[in-house]
Amino acid sequence: MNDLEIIALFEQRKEEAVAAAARKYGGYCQTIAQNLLGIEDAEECVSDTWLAAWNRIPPARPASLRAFLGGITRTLSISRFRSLHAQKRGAGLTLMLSELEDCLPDPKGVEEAVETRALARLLSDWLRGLPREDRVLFLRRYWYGVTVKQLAGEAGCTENQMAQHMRKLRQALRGKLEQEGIAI
Amino acid sequence: MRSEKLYDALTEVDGALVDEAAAPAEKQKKKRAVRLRWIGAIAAVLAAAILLTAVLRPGGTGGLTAYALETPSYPAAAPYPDVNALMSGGEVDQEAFTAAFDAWSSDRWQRVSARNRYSADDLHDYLAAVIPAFLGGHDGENVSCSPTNLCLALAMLAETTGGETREQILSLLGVSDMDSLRALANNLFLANYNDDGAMKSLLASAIWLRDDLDYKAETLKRLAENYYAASFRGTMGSEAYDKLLRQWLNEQTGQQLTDQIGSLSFDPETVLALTATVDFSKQWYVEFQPERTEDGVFHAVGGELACRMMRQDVDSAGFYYWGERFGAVTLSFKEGGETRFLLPDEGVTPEALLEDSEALAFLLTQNCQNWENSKNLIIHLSVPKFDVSSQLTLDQSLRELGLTDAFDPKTADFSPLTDTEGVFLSELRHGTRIAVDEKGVTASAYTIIPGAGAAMPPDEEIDFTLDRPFLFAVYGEDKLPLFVGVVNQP
Repeated sequence: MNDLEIIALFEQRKEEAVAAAARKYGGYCQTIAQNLLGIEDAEECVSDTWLAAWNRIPPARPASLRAFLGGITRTLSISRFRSLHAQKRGAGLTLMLSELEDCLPDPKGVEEAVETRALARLLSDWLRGLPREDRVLFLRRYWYGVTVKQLAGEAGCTENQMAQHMRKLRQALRGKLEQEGIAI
Repeated sequence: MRSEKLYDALTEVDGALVDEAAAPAEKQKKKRAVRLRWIGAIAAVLAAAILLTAVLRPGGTGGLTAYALETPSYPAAAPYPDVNALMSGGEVDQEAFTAAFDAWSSDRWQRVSARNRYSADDLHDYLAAVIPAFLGGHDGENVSCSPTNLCLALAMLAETTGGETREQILSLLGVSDMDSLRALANNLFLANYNDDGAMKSLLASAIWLRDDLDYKAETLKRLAENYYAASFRGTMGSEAYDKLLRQWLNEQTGQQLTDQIGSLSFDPETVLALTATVDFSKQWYVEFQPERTEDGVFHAVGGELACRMMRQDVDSAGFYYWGERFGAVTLSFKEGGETRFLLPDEGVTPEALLEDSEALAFLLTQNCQNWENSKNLIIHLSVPKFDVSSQLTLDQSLRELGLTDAFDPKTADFSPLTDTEGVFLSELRHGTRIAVDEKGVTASAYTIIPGAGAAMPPDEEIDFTLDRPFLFAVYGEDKLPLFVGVVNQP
């Protein structure tokens, strides 16, 4: 079943929509949640994903169903992480968030806060300006939560080399955010 | 935790980027290359040509031929890797693919570097002057121009003129001296010149001399080096020279302006002519789905017109901008650049917006993100398919903008080009054609899944329907308006 057909099922309020979405993107969402939270909490996040999609379509009519569902899983994962307050249970996410701290400019002297969506837009533009390989690497690490070790395996380099490369990308993003006067 | 804020923002990045990163880059290289077969898919086809003609007061012709004096070497644009040509034993030859990809990437880097050597601010005053001057006064008609195209034509004109004639051109362009102008024109050309198979943005210039006009070879050489301009010589008024002119213009504009170029010919009294062209086509970053295009009504000045209305929901990346008298949205192109659509408020005409300093400021801002009045919304966008042509004679507008000496036989100074006296500019014609549609990739799996998926739909939504006369501007990767126009009748 293609994405337009699945979306049509959601729009017609047919419960097969959930089954079809789960069949097609269950593994995809499971991988994201598992990367971020670990196996234990991933399953619940994924099953909540279908309910959230059911509540949002309609009126939402996603241009990419895959990215839409993956985004919901990501949002649910961070919510779960926040509610747990137990960082040891979300080791993957803890490490990832700590790495993302590198990208943030020093808040001193910068007063204006930027809305999340404006920041998302800026991030999209920054990503589009990167060479494709770097863009994919950055999102695989920080959107999909793929580990540095796995990324190194995919790219055929050492884990250390990949970690260095990711650090450069984070520094580049930090530079961009500083240049735009972004305070978070 | 601040990093969580970044996490939240990352969650909402453009869904197309997220899709792209679903698999490691290496695997995707194959996929991207396969898309090349569909590159014919064109969202916007645009072309423009400028013809500046100079005549000699006394007149007189001679000779019988038409031939090239200088031919420029155009910048390299390695083709976007073609996977079909790189198949070996049923598999893509990864080594060859990587080599082809690196070559493409390297040439692209040259363009990016050129783009970083100037900014839209460098041409702000020029753009603020010419856009209203050229597009105003055409109430009810479609009209468009290419400020970038004209800038290159004027830069060439400055190179062939001297004294006050040149100073007036520099003043209009807002450039202090010839060295700065040469650097600017060169970078402008390099940044916008690309025909790698994935996109097309081609600029071309030429100078056409009458065969009995003495000329200074070093100036023609400089035109070739700095402006990538070809030089031709021939008998003005002869069929051979006219044919060469039309052939050159048609080739440089991708045959998009055949109606306007049609019977174009040199007047026998012409002693020199300058031509500059742009041929541009790009795909939308997220294409319109053809099955969503439906019949619509456009409320034109003279009454209602039937049109085909393309529809798209812009979600996570959707920003709505507004001013006192207009609303606006932008649509990005693949590989950079964008189109901005400005819809005047009810009761306000696009022509009136051209006189509105706030609307002009929006057109000229390099980065819409910095526009104060903006809001992230779900935008239900409706854009009529349109294909508009216009032919402008710009002499009078340029005179009013202070470019008087070049048009006056008593004051025009063409001494850097020729020792012949009495040469002056007699006319400046500018033709453009702009076609915008959703299509491209019919029957392709790659277009069925466009990529603007949103994780968290915003709370508010807006319908942005271009069903009455509107303004648009097309920007290259350098965020300079390559084309600006008014659509009164799609």
